[in-house]
Amino acid sequence: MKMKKDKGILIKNLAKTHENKWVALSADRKKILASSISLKSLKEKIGDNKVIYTRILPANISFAF
Amino acid sequence: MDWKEYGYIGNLRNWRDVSESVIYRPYVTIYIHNGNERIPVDALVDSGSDGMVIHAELAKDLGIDLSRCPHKNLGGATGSKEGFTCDVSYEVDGFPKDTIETKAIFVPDLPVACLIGQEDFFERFIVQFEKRNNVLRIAKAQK
Repeated sequence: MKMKKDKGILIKNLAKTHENKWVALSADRKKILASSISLKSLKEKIGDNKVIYTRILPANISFAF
Repeated sequence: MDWKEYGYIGNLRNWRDVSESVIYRPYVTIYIHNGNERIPVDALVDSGSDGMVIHAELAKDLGIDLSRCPHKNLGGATGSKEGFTCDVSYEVDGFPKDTIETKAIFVPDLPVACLIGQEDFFERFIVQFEKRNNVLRIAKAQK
């Protein structure tokens, strides 16, 4: 029996509407709990809930930082 | 050596066809702080970055007034941006006792929330990128 080795996380509810936005991830980083164009408004939506903030990069663009 | 693992985070390359391709990138959760303010952020682990770069929108939440910070130019593979430099500190998830104090460059319109790089992160941790299985492993570097 093959063991699953790939540990990559594909966020369950990731959608095109999240592109270039701030998102609040669940603690296990598997689900987007809320999103917004600005961090300020996202934090207002989230309140005191424990989340991880990040930004969703647009698809169809390759990045070299 | 005590290694901790973090799964890469995937992003779709084509929204219409999920099966077409997913690009996985090495992010790790960090807790950035300045004084009493503390923000959990997923940071992109970027071995090509000299140091820490933070999206300017996070400055306000950290209680940092960027108008009081010195200007700093940031060069990248495809251009340059002007930012502001300021002292911050952070801990990597899984290493709560290892506070990293560094100068970060705050940049408006950064595509990601945060980059961590050579002078802040790689000097303190041994890092394994296992792209084949989309897993990042980190251990504290011994002095």
